[in-house]
Amino acid sequence: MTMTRRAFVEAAGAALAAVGTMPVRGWAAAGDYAPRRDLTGELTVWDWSAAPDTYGVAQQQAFYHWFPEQHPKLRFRMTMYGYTDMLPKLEVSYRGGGGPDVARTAIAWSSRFIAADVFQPIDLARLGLSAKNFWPQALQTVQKPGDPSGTLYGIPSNNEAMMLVWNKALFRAAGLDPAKTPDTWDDLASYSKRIHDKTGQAGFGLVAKLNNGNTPFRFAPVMWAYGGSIFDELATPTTWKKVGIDGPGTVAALDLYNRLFNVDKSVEPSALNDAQADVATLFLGGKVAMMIAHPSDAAQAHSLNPSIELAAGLLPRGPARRAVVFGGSNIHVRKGASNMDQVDEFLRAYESPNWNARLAGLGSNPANRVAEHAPAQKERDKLLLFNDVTFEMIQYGVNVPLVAQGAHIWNETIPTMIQKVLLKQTSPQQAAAEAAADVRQVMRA
Amino acid sequence: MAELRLEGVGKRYGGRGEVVALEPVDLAVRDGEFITILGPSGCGKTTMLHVIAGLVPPSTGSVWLDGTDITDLDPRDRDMAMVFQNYALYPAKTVRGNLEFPLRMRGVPRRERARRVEEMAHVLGLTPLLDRLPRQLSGGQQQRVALGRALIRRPRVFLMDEPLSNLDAKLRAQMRGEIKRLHRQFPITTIYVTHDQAEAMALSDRVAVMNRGVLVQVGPPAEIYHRPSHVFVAGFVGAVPMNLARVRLHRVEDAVECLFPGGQRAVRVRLDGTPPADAAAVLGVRPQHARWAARPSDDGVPWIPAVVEDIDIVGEESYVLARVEHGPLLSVLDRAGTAAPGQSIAIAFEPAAVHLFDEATGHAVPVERVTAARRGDSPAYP
Amino acid sequence: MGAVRTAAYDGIHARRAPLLSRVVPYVFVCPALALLLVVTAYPFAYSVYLSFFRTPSESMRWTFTGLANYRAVFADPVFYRVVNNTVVWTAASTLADLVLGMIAALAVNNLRVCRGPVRAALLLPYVVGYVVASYAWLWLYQGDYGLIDGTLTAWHVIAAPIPFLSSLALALPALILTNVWKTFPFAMLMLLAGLQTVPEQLVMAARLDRASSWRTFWEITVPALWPVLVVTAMLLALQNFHSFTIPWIMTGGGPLHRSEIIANYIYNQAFTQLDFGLAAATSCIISALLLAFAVVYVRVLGRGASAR
Repeated sequence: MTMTRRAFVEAAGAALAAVGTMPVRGWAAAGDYAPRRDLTGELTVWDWSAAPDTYGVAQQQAFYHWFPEQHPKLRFRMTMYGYTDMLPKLEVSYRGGGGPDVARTAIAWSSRFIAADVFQPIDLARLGLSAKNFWPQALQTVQKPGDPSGTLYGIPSNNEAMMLVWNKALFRAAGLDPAKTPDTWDDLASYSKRIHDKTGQAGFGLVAKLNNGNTPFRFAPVMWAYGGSIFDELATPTTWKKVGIDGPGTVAALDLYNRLFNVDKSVEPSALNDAQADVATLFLGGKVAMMIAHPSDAAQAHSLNPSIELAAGLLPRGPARRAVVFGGSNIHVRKGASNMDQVDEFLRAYESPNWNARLAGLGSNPANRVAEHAPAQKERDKLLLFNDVTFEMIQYGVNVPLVAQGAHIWNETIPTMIQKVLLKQTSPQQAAAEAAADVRQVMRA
Repeated sequence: MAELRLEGVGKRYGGRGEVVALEPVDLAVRDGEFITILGPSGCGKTTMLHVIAGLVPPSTGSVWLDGTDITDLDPRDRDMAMVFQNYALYPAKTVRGNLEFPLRMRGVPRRERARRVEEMAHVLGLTPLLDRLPRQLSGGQQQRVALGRALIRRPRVFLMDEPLSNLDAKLRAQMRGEIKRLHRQFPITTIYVTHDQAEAMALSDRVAVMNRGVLVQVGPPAEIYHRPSHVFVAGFVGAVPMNLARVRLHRVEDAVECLFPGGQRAVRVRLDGTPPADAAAVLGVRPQHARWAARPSDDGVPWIPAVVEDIDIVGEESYVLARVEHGPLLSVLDRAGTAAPGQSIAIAFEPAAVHLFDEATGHAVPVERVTAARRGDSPAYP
Repeated sequence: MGAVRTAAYDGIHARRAPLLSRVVPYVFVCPALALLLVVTAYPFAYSVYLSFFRTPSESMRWTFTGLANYRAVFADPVFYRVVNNTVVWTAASTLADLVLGMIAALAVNNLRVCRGPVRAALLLPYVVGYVVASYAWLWLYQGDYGLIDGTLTAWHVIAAPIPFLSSLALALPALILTNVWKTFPFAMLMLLAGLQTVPEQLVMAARLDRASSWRTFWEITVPALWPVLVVTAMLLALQNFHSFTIPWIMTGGGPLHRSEIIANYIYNQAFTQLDFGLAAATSCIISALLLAFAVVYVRVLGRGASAR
């Protein structure tokens, strides 16, 4: 589960050398995708950049250079956005009746557009794929909630889950076993207090900033672990109709946050205005012992401060379950796109195991699970820190609210609820009740 | 009662004092005296005024007021008032606001202030303008407000920095009279800076002529006019410039003959003391102290042959400008008014009214003013 | 007086100018006017139009809803909190900008040596980008490791670190301080330029009239600077009113909307909740408030400025 600095640097060097010298054409030939070179017509694609993951960016550049090369007669247009630019751009262009033929969006954005009926159904069989290729949660994110037909309005491109990352030196200084993950959230709170008491540093990096997606991404796993939910996302099938955020699980999770911030004061005092980047900075400086992080966060921390002794493990479990937000992206096709041949060709290329593995970068994993055994994945494994942990974590993934109003609930309702408790404005019960009222109002409107 | 004395006051600027604004100056101003500092622009007269006011600290020397050293005293505590060239009226205040400002700053009660403002406005004819803003006034009106603001608090010393230079000629003459009248009415020690010699002559008890940071001559206007101690004063003072010509001094018997470069005899004078043989000097004669004729007459003075180049008309008078061969262009008051350009004439100087200056130092060479004189033709004071 | 002069001038102009030269100025103005219409008038009109429509997240279609968006804005308690924050933010920032800017301008203006370097140093915050400034101050305010808390605890001014940005009472003042640091150099620059046009002789005259430095400042310098002050205050107020970056980066508007200002609020409505109609309605309400403020401001202070 851990990796020394030397091993990491050597692996990274070898892999980058391989990428640099390997002829791109040769990869594809060795793989699974045979381009139709006589493809004509047009295709417009919007994607968002994997930056700051330099490996991921290099793969995207290679792919978007390679694909049109395979189709010399195709008029291929691609636009690369930044992560935060993409949503407003898509929103405005779809509302204006335009938009690209193909767009890749984060999971959290998919449901909104699916609800607004702007996407074309996708037939996996026509692409030579089946539902078995993907995580079940991933397929949920491209379906309409409660639709018995199970029609897919997109196709998962990459999926990931977060994990717990910690600083072994601080664990040691607090007399904790540096190789041992806190098993439960309760254990995590005890660890945090112990680290804070012994070292003076924050035990756990709490993210509770307002209007920031990092906040709910880190709170929801705790809530789910205690059996709480926003709607009924823990039940099968999920209806996304029943509002459950005022349940005892949410209250217990809020209690845990309150214990960390107000009772033990074992987290950083700036938690209320810290996003993940701020916590990561503190972690880099040895000021925070544990944080919830993506594999790419760990890789970045390692490259910025190699002297940090990194370790990673599963997120703690709660009395009900172990859970994590099921993350990733989907590729969608605009409704009314008439160039389905061209679209299918692009999807086949993107989902082909080698490209799907490479395009996942270091921050995610291929959505097509066949890619887990592709030659490209073997190269990628050498670069990835703790990839085994995140793979193991995906099975515990729970989806974000797959409703059109999800963005408001996720970025506004949940952070407000947390801040009320941390600022002692209301009790956890009251905060959860007010959050439920807010969710109901948003869903009614 | 305010007697002002400058002792070796000088001012230098620049990091090492390399720019001399004012050479060390000694000057005593009597109580109630109206003294004018006269000089071309950039001669240091404004600097001197600012040093007196305390707005600029002097580099050397000290300033005394009634026997007290005020060199380091803050301008606020000197009780001096100043009228600036551009009046420096407070633009956001009405005429009333400007007039009462110095009283307000002295804590004069409101009722007393109002009385004195009314009084001063009456004296200056500003009563109907009291509620106007400065920019709604004409130049002359602004000038009167500035005078009023300075006078209203009866300062011990009244400083004026070219107060009339922004007015047109007619208004200037009018305001000159007004200032004279005010000084008679309020006999405050006044230091008046100007570059206009006519103003200086008309207004002052005494005139101090300055040039390049040096105080050249101090004296009553008549003395400055008639007995310039320096070639600069001679050239600067006078409505029409004095003729200044380079001459060679040639000893003849007990007198000295002044010869133009072309060898013509200009005038014969007697000097105190003995001049060196063949010395060079500058001869000065005011145009009013020269006359011309179509041909020389035999009256004992040298007649200088010259050719008329131009006729210069200044007001009611006209001046003949005539060139001496290989010599200077001379200006002669044309009493007859019959000369025409191109005409050959002869010019004669009034020996009693010529000045000689050392060519090197510019200082006046004392001349004994009796040489073959034609009596009874003493020129009038201009 | 000004009006009289203008009318007289126009009268002369109208009598003498032939038709062509009266038309030509409008011809020259046309391209700029057209550009302005495209980039300002059209988006503004479009926002007003949009504010009467529901733009639901579950559909791409617009439906006319009349004033429903406006009612929704006025029904949101956060809106009032945010307006209140914005007024405090704008007023406090602008006032502090002017006071600090004036002090700095006077100090620089009276410097005899090193004027250039000092002025450049004081201008530095203005040159620094908003994002850079926000992150720098974020870390200055950081409770455990920030310079401010660190220094105050080390000097025993406070017993324990104060989490400025997480405090309900202190977050907004802390952000205002950052904003003032960032914007006061603009006031300094404007006032310094203004000070240099105040005739030195006015100040000399006031000194000779026995005015203290304090009275000279209030009676001579401030009236002379008044037009510059009015314009600077207006520009700063508008700039501060439209601020976005500092709260966005430093607190995200938190804690609990205590440091959220109107630009953040509208941005969230449009791009987080993706409710464009609601965001347009809020924009229109704010525009109306701003317009009312501008009219009053120009009526009251602008007239004073022209009288001077």
